[in-house]
Amino acid sequence: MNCSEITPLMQSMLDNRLDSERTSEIKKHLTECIECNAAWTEMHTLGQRVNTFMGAIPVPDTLRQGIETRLSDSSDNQKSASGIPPEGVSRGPNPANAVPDTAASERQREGTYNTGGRHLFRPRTVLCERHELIRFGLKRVISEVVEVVGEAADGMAACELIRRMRPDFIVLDVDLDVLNGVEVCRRISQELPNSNVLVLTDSYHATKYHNQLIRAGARGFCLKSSGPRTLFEAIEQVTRSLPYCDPKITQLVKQNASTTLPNSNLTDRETEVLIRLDLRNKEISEELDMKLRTVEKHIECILAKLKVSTRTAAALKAVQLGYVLLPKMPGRDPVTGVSHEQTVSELNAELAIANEHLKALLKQNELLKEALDQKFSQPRTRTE
Amino acid sequence: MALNHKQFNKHFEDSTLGYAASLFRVAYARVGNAQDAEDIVQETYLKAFRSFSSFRDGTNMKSWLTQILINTVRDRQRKSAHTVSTIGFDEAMGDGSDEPIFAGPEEQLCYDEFDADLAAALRSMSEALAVPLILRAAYDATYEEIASILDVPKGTVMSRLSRAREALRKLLCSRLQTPQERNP
Repeated sequence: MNCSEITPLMQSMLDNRLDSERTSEIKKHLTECIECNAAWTEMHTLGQRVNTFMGAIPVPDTLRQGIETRLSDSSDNQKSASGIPPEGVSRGPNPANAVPDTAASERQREGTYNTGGRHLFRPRTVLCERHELIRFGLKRVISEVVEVVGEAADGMAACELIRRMRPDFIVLDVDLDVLNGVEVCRRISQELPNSNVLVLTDSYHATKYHNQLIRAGARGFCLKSSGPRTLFEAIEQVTRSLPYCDPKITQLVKQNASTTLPNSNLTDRETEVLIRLDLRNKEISEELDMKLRTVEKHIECILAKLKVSTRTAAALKAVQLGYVLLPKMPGRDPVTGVSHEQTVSELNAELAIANEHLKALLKQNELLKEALDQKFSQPRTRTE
Repeated sequence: MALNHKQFNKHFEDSTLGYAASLFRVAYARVGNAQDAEDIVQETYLKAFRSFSSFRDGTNMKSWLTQILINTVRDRQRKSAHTVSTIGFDEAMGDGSDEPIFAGPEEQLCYDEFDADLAAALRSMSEALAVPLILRAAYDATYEEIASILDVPKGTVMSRLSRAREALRKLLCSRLQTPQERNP
């Protein structure tokens, strides 16, 4: 054993990583070589010095107490943020917090955690989403925390499935065929008043139908553009019968509300109609969840208050007064600001690609047909 | 086992508070200030508490907490690199009370008593070199444990420890030398 081999081994010896045989070999070398011995002594002394230094660092008496105080503060904050009262504080008789009187809801009210990182209470869930691929992906994601017991692609199927399965939790898209999400939510709430509905949709539908969905009984709102973490947070809140709204949606709803800033002695409802004057009356009535006749009445009042005779003049006056009219583009996205034309061109491009695929499939189909025909005709010729 | 909030808090405290002293020592060795080290340890526990539900039973609690601590120290050092520490006028002038703003002489003495040269040398070393050495000394951590905390291969830990000891030796030697000896 020479000196160059010893240096790295001394390191291992210092960290007690060598077996006794190897250690005695090195020690023997150290007794013979003065330079290595000096290096070892220096290394050992330094190690001892670091160990002594670390051990001598005085730990303040207040450390544990400080940690406990900070933890208890944080724990109280978390409870108040999630609607769970601190110990000894009873929850008021708020109907929004009412939970079904079942064993499952007891567990929900307590707030279940487990030490292994998984929720033990897995609510039985129905998934309502029109697009199959998204439904498939969503199911895989949320299956970590819930038990998906049924899936529906349209509103009517969703209603029937929910009526039959009576799930603990429902993930609902607004944009559904036959019956839209608002109607589904309304029907579910009538039949299962304690149902926990989480609306998972795009920002356009979420802001457009926000008020209607709340009235229909939806408990939570989450955007499809948000990540799994937000979705899990929403699921955790809603399955505990607590309200949840994605901060982006709150912001968008506030933005819509803030368009009522200029003062022109119009009522809030009239202002809401005014900023939608670009839409047809029927669309306004649908969007604001009011009767057609009410919309017409509001428009009459608006014309009178703004002292104009036509709808166009009222819209112009509204812009002059500082109101921001909502654009009438279907499919507009208030977050991304994607224009109507852009959406149409993108859809056209997708349509063209789909057509190409269809053509290719048809061609493939014909080829297969020909091949099959040939195959079937061959044995006949042989038998003939 | 499903736990309510109270049980959850208790379970967290029972499983983690035993490591507070070791974590404080590691933090102190990196920042060299008892107040900051205490803050860092508290922040570490807060972060750990928030994500305790994602901690898997059976994994090493000490390693997990140390990982969070190291990240917290790193964040704090990154932030402090961009901020200038200031003191408010009223605070500097005092509010009439006799309470000192800075650590008292007894407290200061307590921390000045031990190896100041070594403390300064450890602080001046890069994180990559200092942390394995500190962990080895603070916890008597094995190469495997250090590797799992720092998320590096075992071989890297060995080489870093070797380089750290060499760097520390040089730093301490240079501290012993006078300025003339350093720049002859």
